[in-house]
Amino acid sequence: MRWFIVVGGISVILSVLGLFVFIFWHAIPLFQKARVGTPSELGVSLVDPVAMLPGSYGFDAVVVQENGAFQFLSCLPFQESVTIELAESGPHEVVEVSTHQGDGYLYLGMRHGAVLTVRTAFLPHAQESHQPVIEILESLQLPVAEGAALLSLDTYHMDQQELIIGLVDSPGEGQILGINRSARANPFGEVETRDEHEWSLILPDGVVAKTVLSGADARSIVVLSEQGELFYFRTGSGSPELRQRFFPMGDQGPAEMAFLNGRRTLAVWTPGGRVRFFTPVSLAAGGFKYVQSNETFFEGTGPLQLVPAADKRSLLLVRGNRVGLHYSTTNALRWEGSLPFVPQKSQFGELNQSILFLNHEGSFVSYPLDDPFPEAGLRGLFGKVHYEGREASSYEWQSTGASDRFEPKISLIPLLFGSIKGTLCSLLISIPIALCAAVYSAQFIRREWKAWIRPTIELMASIPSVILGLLAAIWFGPLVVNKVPSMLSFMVLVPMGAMLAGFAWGRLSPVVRKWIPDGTELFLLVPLFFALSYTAWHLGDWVESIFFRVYDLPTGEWVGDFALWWSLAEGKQMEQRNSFIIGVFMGFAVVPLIFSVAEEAFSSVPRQLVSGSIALGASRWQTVRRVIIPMAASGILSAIMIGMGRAIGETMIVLMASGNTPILEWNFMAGFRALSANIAIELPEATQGGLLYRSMFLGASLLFVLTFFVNTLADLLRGHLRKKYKVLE
Amino acid sequence: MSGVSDFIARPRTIGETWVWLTGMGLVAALVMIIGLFGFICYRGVIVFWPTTIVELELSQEAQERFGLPEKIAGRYLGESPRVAWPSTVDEMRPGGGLPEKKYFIGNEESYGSRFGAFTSDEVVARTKPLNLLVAERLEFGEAFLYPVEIKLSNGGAISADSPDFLTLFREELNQINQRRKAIQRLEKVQIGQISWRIEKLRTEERGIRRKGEPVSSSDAARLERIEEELSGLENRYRVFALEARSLRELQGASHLVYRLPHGELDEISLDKVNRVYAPNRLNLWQKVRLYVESLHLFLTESPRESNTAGGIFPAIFGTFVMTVLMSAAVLPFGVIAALYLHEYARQGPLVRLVRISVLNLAGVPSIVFGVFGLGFFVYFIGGGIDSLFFSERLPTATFGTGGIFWASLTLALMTVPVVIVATEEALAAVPAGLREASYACGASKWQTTVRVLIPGSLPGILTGLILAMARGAGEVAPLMLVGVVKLAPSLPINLVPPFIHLDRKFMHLGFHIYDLGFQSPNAEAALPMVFASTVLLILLVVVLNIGAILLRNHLRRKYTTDTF
Repeated sequence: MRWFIVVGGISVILSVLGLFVFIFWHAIPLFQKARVGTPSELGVSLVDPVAMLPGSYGFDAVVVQENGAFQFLSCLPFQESVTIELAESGPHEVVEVSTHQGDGYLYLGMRHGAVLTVRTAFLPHAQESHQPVIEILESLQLPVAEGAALLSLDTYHMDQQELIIGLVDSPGEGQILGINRSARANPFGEVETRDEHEWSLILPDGVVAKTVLSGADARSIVVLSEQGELFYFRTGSGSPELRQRFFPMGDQGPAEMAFLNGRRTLAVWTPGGRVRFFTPVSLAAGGFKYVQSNETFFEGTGPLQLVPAADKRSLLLVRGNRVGLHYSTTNALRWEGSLPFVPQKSQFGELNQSILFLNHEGSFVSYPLDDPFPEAGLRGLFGKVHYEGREASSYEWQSTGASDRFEPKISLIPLLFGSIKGTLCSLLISIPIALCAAVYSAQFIRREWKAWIRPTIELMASIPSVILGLLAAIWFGPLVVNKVPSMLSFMVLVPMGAMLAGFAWGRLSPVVRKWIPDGTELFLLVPLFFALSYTAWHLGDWVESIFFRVYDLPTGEWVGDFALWWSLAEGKQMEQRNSFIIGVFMGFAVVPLIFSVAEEAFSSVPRQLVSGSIALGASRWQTVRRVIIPMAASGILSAIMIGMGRAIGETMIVLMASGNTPILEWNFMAGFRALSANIAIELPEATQGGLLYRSMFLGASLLFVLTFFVNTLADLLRGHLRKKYKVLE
Repeated sequence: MSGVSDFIARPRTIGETWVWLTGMGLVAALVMIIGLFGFICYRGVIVFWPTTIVELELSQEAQERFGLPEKIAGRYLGESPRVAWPSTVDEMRPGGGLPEKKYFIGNEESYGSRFGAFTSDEVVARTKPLNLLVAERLEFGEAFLYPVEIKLSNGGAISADSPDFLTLFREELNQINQRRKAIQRLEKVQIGQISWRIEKLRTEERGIRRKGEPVSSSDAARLERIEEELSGLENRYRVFALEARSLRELQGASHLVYRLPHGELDEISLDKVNRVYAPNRLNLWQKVRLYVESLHLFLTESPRESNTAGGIFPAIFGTFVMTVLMSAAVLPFGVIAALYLHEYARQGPLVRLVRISVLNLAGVPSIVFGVFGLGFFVYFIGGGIDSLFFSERLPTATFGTGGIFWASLTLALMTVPVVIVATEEALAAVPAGLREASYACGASKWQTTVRVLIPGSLPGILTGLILAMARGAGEVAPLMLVGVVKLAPSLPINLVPPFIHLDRKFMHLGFHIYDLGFQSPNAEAALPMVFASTVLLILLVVVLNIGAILLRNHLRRKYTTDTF
């Protein structure tokens, strides 16, 4: 039977402690670097193809040859590689293939200016394998002059908006040709009107374009010149307009550029290995300008090649046989390694689950890649990050985004800040109340009453926090929002009034004071409290009209209005769900904890010390001030820590009454979003094992570590105090 | 002025100023707690008290302003200044800043809103008509109306002028309510049992068919038997469905013809009326009876109209079942762990470390336990159970989604430190003499544990359990992650086999409060229900806590007198 208890006991304790190992374990993948597995190779000889694209349905990659042949490559045993020639007759000289993630369209640019729109599809075939099909959707012609040839092509296509840009080898006028097409659909998805607009771009004198890209929204055109200067144009209904020109790499000479996934952030790099990222920032006057967000350097021999991923803001950096996997937003190198060969083409596989290379012999090599959470990592979760579209780096929590234009912003800093702000607010209000109450009930109050005070206040700790949150949000919030000056005068008047009363009381003759013996001041204090509260409540209007005067524009009068005054003085709106309300109502949860620990510490100060002090003629306050408080100091600290531990993890009150806005502001009339409330809001909707899910587990781990640390510290302090008392007894 | 300075310079007791400040702190803390309880209890208790209903005659402008008829009836709710500058409108509202009286005006389908607020200028006359009736309906909330007559199913009619009209009306309603319950029983229990059996057979059939061709002879025979039983069940189902339908037809047969305060005549099927009373004719005794009746309905009925009306029985029951399941899990594990820590483990730094950790686990935020419950119980264990035992139902999750079982286990984990700490304390309080006496009589360690230590520390263990229950019953945050819902169609324990449905989602009092207060489509109408539920929850938790305190005091007394 002994073993029953021992095994049972150990396993209960282990499983309770193991709980946290489980939570930590779920958060670990957020911090893992990318992992690259062992490669699989396909012996083909593909020399200098036009493009290599990620494949799908069992095909690792699709290679497009200059003659328009599509080779679907597969390393799987049951799936054979397939080659499809374009059905269109005539010689094809494909110079560029432009793709879009999402719709599966490919635009093939031909040397003589034709642009072919095709779509690949996969039909089920025998035994799990698939048969690829290529469907030609459309063929159009860029107005390339006789004798000139198309050098490159870039396209954008989304939501019926299309932008096709070609770069031609004739310098000067007509080097950049473009077609804007838009279709307007009715609510049923039927196309109603089509609009097509052809243009050619005129570059400033002496500028020869090297690369042209079409940005998101089918209206931005970015041109990089041979000299390394960047031109940013916007097209509307008319010809493109120049908005911005600058040297992105400074004086580092010629450069290359590419859009990252989403076609907003631009990567510009020099062959020497320097990469800079530029993000479009919207201007107050309308339009955008490009601002540098990050910079990195990749070492190696040979010129740098940069390949953006189609799924995330990841990119491959290749120099010679050295390869790096970089994540642009957090500017982190996720993986680096050396290949046994120098690749002639590199690409990401489908869903970033592999990296694909054509080696120098033309063989196809696929490395499995495991990097599910490049957005995370220490920098993504806790660092200041320059997000796409932002003017500067910031801490942001914005976990979901409907389209891939937005990437999750998962900085835990605003949430931690929220938790800390809520904790501080509640401590500011509850520490004075709880400590005063503890001192009075431990040392001053009549002995017969003491037995009732403690359980009554401890009962407060048992109120479910959902009830506190409810009252804070639907009763106290609306009640107080127009009465802030009253609350302020309450906070000043009540303690001041009590002190004044005490001041006078101490000077009254003993004959009068005999009526209310020591320890029964509550008889006077309770009516005083209500009288002062009543006065403060009505004094509020007066305070408001004197101290918080503002000039009200609509009526043209000077009025006392705290909400207006606050928004003018702070520049921030006053919210109904704010930190002040959280402070008060979290006080209900925190006061009894602090009270209970502090009262115990005050009460258990050895009796002989108090008697000694009184016998030497000290007044009861002098005894408390000089003997009790110094003795119980570590107990007070421990009490505050316990209250803090409770406040950090409190969920329902903050969930219901804080407004849950993940902002970094010390403004006390604004809300916040705490870690704990964030878990309650977002975890039920997070995909199991996904980024958000794991971030929530990390949040839970943080909460655990914080509270566990604080509570343990409190416990050690209390142990220290007990030892001290024991020695004295 | 010299009087003041004389007073300041008088001989004094040093530090009274600060003593009074600390005293004020205590007063503030006491006012906080007592005021909070008082406020909640007051708001919750008045919810069901029948109040008089007044008839208001509105001025011409008010009628146009609010789109209301000239006469309406309403229940007075309170007075507050009218918001002068609503954020959506640029112009100042007429009467802005003036005090307005707020009324619950009922008859939502006729007026478009359940509430109205009028300044004194907007109300021309106010009367208390005696023959006004309050009808609690199953849809659209309460109605205030003047009865005209009741058309009975047999073609007869009861006129509102007859002296015993209300009595007859109530009898008729009673009958209809009984019939409604019969229909519900028929549909939920009888038909529920048949559907359960049918579903079970279908699942088995699917499982056999999934094995693929060829079907073995034993399987073929089984399939045939299933087919046979299915057809038998379907026949029985048809009989019950027919019975339910014929009862339903009877339900809609009688009607109440009534007049709204402004004179419009209307008619409502009695099936849609839950209860009627004449609020302005009640004496105190009748009011008390009505109050008790409302309270009873609140505690025993299911919610209606997206939880803004009806009762909260499923939430009470869900809380109860969850707490019982939690206690069943937490008690043995907590006691075993405490026995190990206190009696069997060698006391050393390691055990001290474990003890501190366990103690501090009680301070870890509840939401962290919820996260663990979701990750471990629901997804890991539940998902595993699903793929092992319920694979034929996949991708519909059975245990791989939140449910009452996982919620109970999560809360059990959360409260196990409470039980461990309380049990350890109780074990330490058992006088050493008792233990030594037991050993001296030749008892083994196990015998001492079972016969002396556990009975001796039972009050302490119970205290811990009650505290754990109080904490578990009031906790909401972790439940939101592991299976609580705003409206559960059926209870976790009912008369449909297998009777105890551990995989079901459930309703919970605490979550009910959160949901009503924050996610209700009609927040204002939900307010009384919120406060009533709040009182119930706070009573539950406070009673449990006071019980624990009393038990603890009893325990202390016992051991101060019992020592040798």
